[in-house]
Amino acid sequence: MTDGPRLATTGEGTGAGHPPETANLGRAQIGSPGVPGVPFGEPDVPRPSPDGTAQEAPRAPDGQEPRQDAPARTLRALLLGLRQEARSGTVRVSGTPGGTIHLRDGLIVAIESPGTPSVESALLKSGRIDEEGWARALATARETGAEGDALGATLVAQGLVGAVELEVLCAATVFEGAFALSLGRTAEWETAEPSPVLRCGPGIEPRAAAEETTRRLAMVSRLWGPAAELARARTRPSSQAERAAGRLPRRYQSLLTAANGRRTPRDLAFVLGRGLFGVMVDLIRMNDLELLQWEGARPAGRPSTAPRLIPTEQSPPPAPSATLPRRVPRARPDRLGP
Amino acid sequence: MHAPSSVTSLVDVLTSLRERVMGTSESVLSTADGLLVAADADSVQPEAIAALAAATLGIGARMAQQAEAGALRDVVIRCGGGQIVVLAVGDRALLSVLGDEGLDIAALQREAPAIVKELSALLAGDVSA
Repeated sequence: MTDGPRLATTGEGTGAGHPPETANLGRAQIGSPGVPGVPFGEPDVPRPSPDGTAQEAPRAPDGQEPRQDAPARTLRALLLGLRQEARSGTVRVSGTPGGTIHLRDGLIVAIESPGTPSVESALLKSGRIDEEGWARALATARETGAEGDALGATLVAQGLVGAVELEVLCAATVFEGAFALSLGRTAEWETAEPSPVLRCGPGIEPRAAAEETTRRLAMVSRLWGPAAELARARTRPSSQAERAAGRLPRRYQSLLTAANGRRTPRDLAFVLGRGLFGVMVDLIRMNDLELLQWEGARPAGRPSTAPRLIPTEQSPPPAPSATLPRRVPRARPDRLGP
Repeated sequence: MHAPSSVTSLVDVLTSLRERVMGTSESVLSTADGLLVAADADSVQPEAIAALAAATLGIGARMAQQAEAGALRDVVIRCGGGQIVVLAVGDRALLSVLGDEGLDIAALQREAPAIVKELSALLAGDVSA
């Protein structure tokens, strides 16, 4: 199966062939900014308006308050629109998890989210770059001005990481970020000026990121079930895992070592400096190999304040005296003997 | 002095932090003077974290006072491989939240009032002997 963190072709650079839905950007509108619950990777299907009538992207009715920038209905539509306009900037998404999407000429150059490790985390946690080298590169990049955007070039110039390696990692992290954002409830977003970020390469077409995210969600739900559920599940090695210990690939080994029953796939990704989707796919495979056992009921959000049930007569109190076997006084000892 | 009956529910609240705030790995509740009350800990020494929480918040409060920055809300310690947040739970207890570098600080700040309220309610029964 072709399911590793697939890297999309970067820098398509075609301005042509924009999807039809982007044509609606700027007119599409639902009530207020902040359209709830539209995952990143979901196709931008027109959704019924609250009154259940308009199926096509509704035009802002006349007499609405004046707005120069009617909100896009989905994050996907927003990004496709910004790509069409070749805008550079930052989209801050609030939600669980939220995140920050960095755009240069409309291409996604980085996505930072609590839901998956950043490029920095991946480089440092994996031990690819040590803290000392990182700090040195940061200091050098700061001297050259545009701190974040120069950081990638500095890392390469100082020989800490290969240019292609960094570009691959940056691209993979964009896809991981898009996937992580799609698992949460996207509450609302705001666009802002570009802010410096560690990046390398031209960036990813929003369309490619959205398609890949859709593919990943479909794959997880086919092999496992709801991806958001897997994202919350906590796991530990099964008894099988110990027996198989010597024969497993290193990736699985490191996951088994880190899985302590407290960590979710996202937590494991941070511990190992790997992408969320890659970890999830490995966990699904390891589950098929019966290497994992999952923690039971998740702890409740808070302790229940429901009235504690007092045992009633329907549930009789334990009466050990009635059920315990009693010594029979006149049991004949000869029957117990051989 | 001790209130053992509420310890389980305190731990429940601490455990729920891992569900409620992405990136939380462990948490420790201590008295304002640094004694361990309850912990959802894995690899850290809860007693050491409890004691350091008192010192951390104390230093933070003095810095806030010296800098005339108003009332201290919480102390955030950001590191290469993780983050620690220390906040006060009422006047008598401290909560230390340990997380990875991706800890969702925004979510923590959003959840903090509810968490503090739940913990305070459970601690309210503690009275001087």
